[in-house]
Amino acid sequence: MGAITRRRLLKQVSAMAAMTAMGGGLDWAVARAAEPIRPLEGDHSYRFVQISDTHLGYHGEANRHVEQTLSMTLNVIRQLNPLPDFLVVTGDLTEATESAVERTARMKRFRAMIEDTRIPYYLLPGEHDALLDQGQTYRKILGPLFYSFVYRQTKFIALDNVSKGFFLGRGQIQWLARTLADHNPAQPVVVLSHAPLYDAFLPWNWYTFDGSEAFGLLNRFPNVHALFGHTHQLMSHQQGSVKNIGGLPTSWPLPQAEELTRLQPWPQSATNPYMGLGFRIFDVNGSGGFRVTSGMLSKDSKPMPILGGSTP
Amino acid sequence: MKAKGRTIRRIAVLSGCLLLMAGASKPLYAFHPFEHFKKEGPKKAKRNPLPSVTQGAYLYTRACLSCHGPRGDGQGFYPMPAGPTAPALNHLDASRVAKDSLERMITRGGDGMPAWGQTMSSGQIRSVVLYVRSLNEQDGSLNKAAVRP
Repeated sequence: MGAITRRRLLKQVSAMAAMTAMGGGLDWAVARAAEPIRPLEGDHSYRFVQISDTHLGYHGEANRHVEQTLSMTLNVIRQLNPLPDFLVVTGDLTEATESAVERTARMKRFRAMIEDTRIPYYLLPGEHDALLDQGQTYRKILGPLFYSFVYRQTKFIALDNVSKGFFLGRGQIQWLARTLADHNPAQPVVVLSHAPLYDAFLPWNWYTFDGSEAFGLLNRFPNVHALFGHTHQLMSHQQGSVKNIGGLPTSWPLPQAEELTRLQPWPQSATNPYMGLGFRIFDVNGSGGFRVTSGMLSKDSKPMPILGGSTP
Repeated sequence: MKAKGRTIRRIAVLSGCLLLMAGASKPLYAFHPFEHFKKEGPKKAKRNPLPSVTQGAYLYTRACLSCHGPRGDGQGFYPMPAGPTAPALNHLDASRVAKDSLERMITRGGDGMPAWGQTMSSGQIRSVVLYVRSLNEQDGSLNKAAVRP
């Protein structure tokens, strides 16, 4: 260490003063140094597709053949170029039934259909799948109700805001806090849930009772997308740093939430039976940016040839 | 002599730096340049020592209205996933309107009813119980009980 000259002393003091003025305190500067934002490394661009609200097993006027519209959707996805790296399905895979046997059969049918695409997939429950038995059948047939995984530096978090009611609950909030604790803020976060995490429309249960607690944990990350289903229509909403994006159904569209009326779907149109049905494509680029494209079903869409089952 | 002077200077500079660090742990300016940025954590549940009908009404709107209806008559706006509509809460019989019975039902759920005990505090649930009891108009004593927690 050389002698302290007047010039060196002035340089050191002015550097410290600048750091202090920028951060408003050394505590801030120290905290920033302890928690470095590591840049993303390598090429991590990829594509995934969101499917939602397939309601397999439904019989009624809203969609006279839910299995066919799901099959058509999967067929279109299989022909995408480039193919998606994986699929995410944001709940209500099956229509609710009080029969445990029928519920099991519907879930197995859904699993067979999605496995026929031979594309990796990630599922989460909707209230139709899980509310009546608090997710017991779902766990047995399709897997855990909530979980996380990392794909090419993006953190995916699948949440369950339906199986006990339209909330996450204290246990899951604590799990979410632990999951995010060591996450690098430079890496994107994608949250998947069935019901929207924000208050989209309370009278129709388009909300999560304790969603504000999840936003409290997520808002410190600059790049967060929260994908949901449940509302059966294109929706988006910015809450802090979280961009909330609604998925398209393959079953039936629902009206826009405006009037205080009972929620009910329209009868399926005879002239335009695929109105409002489809899926969403997410292209994530090398710097963590998202491009969202909607894929709509049409009369030209063909059902998928089933490898392991039969679709009329 | 020269070495001694250098040591004194070093001590003086180090003391100055330490003083600067101690002072800098607080913002140096009346206006903190990053004052608007507050790192958000999970919101802590507000303490609610005393359940109230008012809080119960607020929670009912957020948690119960969609299925049980704004008047508690079972005429909700959200169709239940399967089975019949949610029960009416404004004409409960004596066994179901009892405080313990209501509290247990709201906390544990079942038959399509959410288990609110997993997200609401016991105080919040007691507030909802007070509000639901206040909806039962056929028994005046219940209303009196509801407004006096």
